[in-house]
Amino acid sequence: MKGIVFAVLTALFASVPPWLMATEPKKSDPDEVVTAAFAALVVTLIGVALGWRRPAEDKAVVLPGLAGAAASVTALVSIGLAVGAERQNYWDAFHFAALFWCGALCGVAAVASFVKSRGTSGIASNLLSPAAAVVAAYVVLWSWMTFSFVQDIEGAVLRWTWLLTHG
Amino acid sequence: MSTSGSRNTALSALTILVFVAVGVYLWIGSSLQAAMDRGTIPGLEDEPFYPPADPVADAILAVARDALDREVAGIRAEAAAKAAVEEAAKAAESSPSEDGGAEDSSGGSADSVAGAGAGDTPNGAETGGTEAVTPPNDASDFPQLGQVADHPWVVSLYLPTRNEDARGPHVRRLPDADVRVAVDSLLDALPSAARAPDVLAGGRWKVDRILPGRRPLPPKGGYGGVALDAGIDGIELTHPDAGAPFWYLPSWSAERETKRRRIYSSAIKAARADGWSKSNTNEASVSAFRTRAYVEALGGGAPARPTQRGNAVGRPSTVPEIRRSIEIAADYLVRETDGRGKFTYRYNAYADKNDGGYNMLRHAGTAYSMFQAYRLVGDEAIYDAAARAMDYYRRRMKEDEDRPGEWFILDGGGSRKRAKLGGAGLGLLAYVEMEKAKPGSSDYEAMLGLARHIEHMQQDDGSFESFYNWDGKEKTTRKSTFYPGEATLALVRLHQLTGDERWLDVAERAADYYVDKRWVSLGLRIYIPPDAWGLQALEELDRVRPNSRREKYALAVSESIARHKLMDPEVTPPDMVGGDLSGLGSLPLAANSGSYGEALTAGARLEARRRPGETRHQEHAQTNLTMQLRNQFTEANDWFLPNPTRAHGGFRFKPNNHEIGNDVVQHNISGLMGILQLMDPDAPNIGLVVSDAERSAPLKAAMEAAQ
Repeated sequence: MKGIVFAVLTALFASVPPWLMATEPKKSDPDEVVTAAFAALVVTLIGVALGWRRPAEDKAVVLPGLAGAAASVTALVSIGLAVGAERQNYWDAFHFAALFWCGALCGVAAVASFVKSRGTSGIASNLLSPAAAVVAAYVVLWSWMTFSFVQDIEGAVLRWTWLLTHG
Repeated sequence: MSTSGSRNTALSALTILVFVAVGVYLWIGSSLQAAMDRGTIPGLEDEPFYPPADPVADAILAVARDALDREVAGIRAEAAAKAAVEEAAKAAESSPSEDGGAEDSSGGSADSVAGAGAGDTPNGAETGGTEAVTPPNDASDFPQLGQVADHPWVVSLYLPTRNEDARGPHVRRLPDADVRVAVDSLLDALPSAARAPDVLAGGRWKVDRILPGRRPLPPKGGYGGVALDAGIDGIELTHPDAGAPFWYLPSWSAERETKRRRIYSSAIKAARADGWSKSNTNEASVSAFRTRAYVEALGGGAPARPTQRGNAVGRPSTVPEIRRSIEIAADYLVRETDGRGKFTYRYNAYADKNDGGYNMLRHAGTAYSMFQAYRLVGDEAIYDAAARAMDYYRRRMKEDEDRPGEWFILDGGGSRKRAKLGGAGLGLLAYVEMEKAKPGSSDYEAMLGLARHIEHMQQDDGSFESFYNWDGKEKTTRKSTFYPGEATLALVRLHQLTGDERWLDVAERAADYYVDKRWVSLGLRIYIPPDAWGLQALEELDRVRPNSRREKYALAVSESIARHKLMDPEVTPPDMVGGDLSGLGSLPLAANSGSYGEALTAGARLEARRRPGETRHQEHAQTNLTMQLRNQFTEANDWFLPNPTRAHGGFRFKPNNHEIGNDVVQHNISGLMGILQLMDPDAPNIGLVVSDAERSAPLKAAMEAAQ
């Protein structure tokens, strides 16, 4: 029962950022977006932590992970929507960084949850790879922000695709 | 992990891959397919980008030029004769008793005017008298014409007029060696509006040699026209019932600002205008073809100039060319400054009309670049126009009611007048440059008032507010990428002028904010914005307060700008080298080569000073320079414009967008000044430090009063 409650709460919070961004990308308050993301993270972490001590077959383990995976995806989507709507001119670095860390940590929590319950839950074993892929996307994004050589690769890909269609 | 668990994980991973692949295909599959359908046209693998010199093209253009000059001379002579007859008739009416004398007079007058008119041709050709009606022997004068029949050629005449019917291009194929007959038939078929001698005399000939080899096109030119190279691929329509194929020449899409996704439909439209039926165009086989295109030099007479994508071969990146480029760009701005000091904001050179809008930030920036150009060229007309522009700016400045002595500029019209930090920064830059250009000339109250306002806009952490809430109605939370850099550079420049450390302190706090705090949070540096003005500020701040962290950050900004440019001449089309990536569906923005040119040259200067032996950033600046020079309108690349005289010296927005913005010209002038400083020891110092002895008396007095 607890697992369902945490999952529902996480899903609710997780749905706020992309909903705000998709409906009113140019009017959405970045503080609200980030608050929702933080709330999703907190609930996910609590849910996964509580579930961690329970038997693997208990739904309390997999459901918060499932919701955490959703929060991870929605945070990533929200970052994309924000950049697409040129929110760089209105948001602070904090807003982007908070969305990033909330999404990444939710993703890690989801992977942990799925790893624990993959042996007993078909959902967990099926969603482990997608969740890992989302975490990998966060790692790529982090490496882009951190290493100039990754940005060089990005520039090279952009130039290559342009030349592919113009050269 | 159990076997079934592993299998489930593997299956889900596979499912993801399939979904991603299907998604990518649905998203850009047809585009990728079209991209794969592109490529070299069979037989043209070794075709050079710019066509090699061709004596046959020279000969065709020489004959066409001669025919055009004769046509102009003939029309002028005819008009002069008609005027003389009318004058004689009037004279006869006023003195009827002297009718015999009037007749003699009219005949003599007509002959003499005809001779003068004939000699007054664009290239000074002797085409009057009997020569005007007896064409030269083309076959003996131009033996190369014997080779015309070896390839299909198309000759085009462009006329400098806004009249759509007259403007052209008026086109004729050269199916055989008789070039003059084809050209004469083209001239005979010109609409009456095209036969005004002044219009006709400004005509420019272009000739295309249609190359063999065709590449079938996917339907409608591929998704978004991606199978077509804008300005390089022409479209050929063939249909058994239509006789000769229809050729939509490659350069037309670039000349006419046709976006790539519309090239195909433009070709269909042009074919229908050329008499093709709807059913024939619908059923036609469509393929891409290429040409070797040449345009005659202004006035004719010189060898044909190779062209590609509606542009001439790029000018060399030499000091004289850069100086000339700055000079004609400044002349363009002088012409586009009205009596009140207001600039033409956007001149659409393809339509020969002004587009709307205005922006006081760009206004101030433009004046700033004109003072820079004046320091190089020394032409008083440039200074006068820029000074008028500063008067215009001054009239729109406002003193802060709550903080006397602080001034800002209002931008925008109606109820949306806003006090933007960038407006104050660029205005201050212009006032400082004005004083550097002519000591004693600036408005010191305005200059120092703007500086105080900028100082007031700085926050405790060193950042700047981008918008000043001057009327209590400002609600935006927008943080401009560029305003803070403009303000910071202005303060660094004010310090160069006055030596007052107060301004440098403000600038240094701002610079440290950029390096340590801007876009940094929770252990992440989100990104390094392409802050072109900020980079210039960092470079000039580094001259007086060197700091390795700021130097490193400045060069990282330069790198982030260069990263999104086409900098490799080995793999990039030669006319796009130095261009700025602006989306897969678009040709590079030449405008950004101007704005980022200022930044890249600042990075280059910083590298040259702080990292001896390294050349990376200087190479970036040099490569960017080539894109700048290629996209300035000169007599070499303006043949298709309705008013080339007006566009002369202006920088266009894109290779296939011929709008000239005053800010685009400004960025290019300032960027060229920046690169010139690296190449020309005689060029004015961009960050000139004015010593106490060099300061004008009025400036000193203003500084003392401000203490």
